Amino acid sequence: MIEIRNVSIIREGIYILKGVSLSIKKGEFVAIVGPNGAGKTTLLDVITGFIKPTEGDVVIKNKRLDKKIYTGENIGYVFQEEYSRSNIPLTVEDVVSIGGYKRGSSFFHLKGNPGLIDKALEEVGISNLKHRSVSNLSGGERRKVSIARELSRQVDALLLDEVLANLDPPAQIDINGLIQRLHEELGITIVFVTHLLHYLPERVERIVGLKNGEVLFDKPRNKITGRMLTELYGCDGNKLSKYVGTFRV
Amino acid sequence: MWELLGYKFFQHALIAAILGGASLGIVGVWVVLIGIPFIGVALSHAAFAGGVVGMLLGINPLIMAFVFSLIASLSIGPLSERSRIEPNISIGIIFSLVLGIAFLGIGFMKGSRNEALSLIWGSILTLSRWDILLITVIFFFILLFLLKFNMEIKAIIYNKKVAHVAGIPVSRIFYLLLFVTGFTVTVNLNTVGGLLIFSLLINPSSAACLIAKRIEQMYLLSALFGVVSCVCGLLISALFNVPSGSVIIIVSSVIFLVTFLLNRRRIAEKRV
Repeated sequence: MIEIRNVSIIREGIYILKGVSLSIKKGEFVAIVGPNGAGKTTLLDVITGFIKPTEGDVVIKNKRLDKKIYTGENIGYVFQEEYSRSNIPLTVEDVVSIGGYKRGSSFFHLKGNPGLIDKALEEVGISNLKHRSVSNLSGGERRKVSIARELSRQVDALLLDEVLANLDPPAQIDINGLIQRLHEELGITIVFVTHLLHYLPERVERIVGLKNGEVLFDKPRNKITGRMLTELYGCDGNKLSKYVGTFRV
Repeated sequence: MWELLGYKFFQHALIAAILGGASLGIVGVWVVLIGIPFIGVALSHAAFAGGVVGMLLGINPLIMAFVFSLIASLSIGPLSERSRIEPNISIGIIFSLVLGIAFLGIGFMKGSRNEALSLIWGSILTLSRWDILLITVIFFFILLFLLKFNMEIKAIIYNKKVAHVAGIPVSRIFYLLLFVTGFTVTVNLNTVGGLLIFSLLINPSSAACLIAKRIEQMYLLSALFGVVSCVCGLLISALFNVPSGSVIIIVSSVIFLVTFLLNRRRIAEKRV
C-alpha cells in the first residue's frame, strides 16, 4: 500500500532523512518510534506529499508520488497539534467537512457531504459534539475530531503523529482504544508515530526505529530487543523494553 | 444634518460607508483568522503608494494602486510561505519600501498635494459615481467569492497542512485571498485613506472574533461592525466638521473596546 524507496531529504547539506526504505502493506499496524528529531514527522510529510524527497521515490497504491498524484484520497493524516489559535469560530461539523472536500458535489462547497460527515462522527463516537465549537473541546475530543475528519474521506490508511501526546491518561486510553477498533473493525492500515514507547497500542505488529533520519531497525514487535532500544534512545534499553510488550488498554 | 442626505455627494459617501465597511469587515475575517494582520497593513500601504505614484506619473491613481497591491500580494504570498526569513520581517521590509515610495512620490509632487493627501487621510465626501460603482461591484464579488470558496477558506483558517492533505490547493487559494484583500483595500482606499484603512480590516473582525461562535456569525458581525464604524464615523464627522477617516477608525476602535468590556467574562471562559 505504501512504498518508500531509498528516500532522502537534505536541508542545507544536512540529512533529515537518509536512504529510508519502508514497505507498509494494507491492513498493517506499524509503529514508527525514535527520539525527538529522528525524522518521524518528516517521513509522514513525505508520504502525504507535503515534502518532496530530495532523492528516492514514494509509491502509494502502485502509483509513484509526484505533483499530480493526490495521496489524501487514500491516506488520512492526523497531526500532533492542529490548532494555530486558541479561539477559532469553527464547529466540529466545519472541521470534519474539510476531510471530505474532494467528495463535495455542489459548485458552492458550503457544507461538505452531510452523509459522510455523520457517518465519520458516529464511527468515532462524537455525534453529540457535531455543533460544538472546536475551541471548547478537550484534548481527547480534539483528537477524535481530527480522526473523524480523515475518516470522512473513507481513507484506507491513517498516519497518526503523536496522537496520544499531551493527553491525560483516560483520554490516552480512550483514543488508544478507538485507534485499535478502527484497525480491527474497519481494517484501516495504521502508521502510528510516537517517541514514547509506553504509548504503543497493543495491536502494533511491527516497530520501525528511526534515529538521525535513518532506519535503525524494522522488526516484528516480539523481535525487538533491549539492545536495539539502547541504540535507539541512548539509554538502558532493558528498562524500556517492558513497554514494547506490556501496554494494555 | 438631515439636509445633507439630499446631496448627491453625501448619498455617495453613505453608500461607500455601507458597502465598503461591509466589504472590509468580511475580508478582515480572513486577515484576522489566518493570522496575517501585518499583510493587511502592507497591502493597504502598497495600494496607497501605487495611488501616489499614479498621480506623479499622470496615470489614474486607482489603476496604479491596483497594480501595486497586486504586485505586493503576489510577492508577499510566496515570501510568507517559502522565505527563510521570518514572514513578518519580510513583510515589514515590503511595508517600509512601499511607504518610502509613497512619501518620496509626495515629495516629488509640484503644486497642491491635496489629492495625494486625500489618499493618506481619505476623502469619502468626494467619491465619484465610478468609485461607487467599483465599491458596489467588489462588494458583490466578495460575497460570491465567499460562497464559492467557503470550504477552502475554512480549511486554510483551521490548518494549512490539514487543508493540503484534504486536497485543497492551499497556495493558490491563499494567494487568491491576498489578491482579493488587496483589491478590496484599493477600491476602498478613498473611504478612510491608505494610512488608516488596515484598521478597518482588523478592528471590526477582531471585535467579531471575541463573541462569534460560528464563522458565519463572525462574517455577519464583522461586516455589521464595519458598516456601523463607517456610517457613524461619517455622520459624526459631518456633524462636527472633523476628518471622516480618523473618526471612522476611532469609532471602529471604540466598538472593539466596548465589545471586549461587555464580554470580558465570556472571553475569559473561552480561553480556559
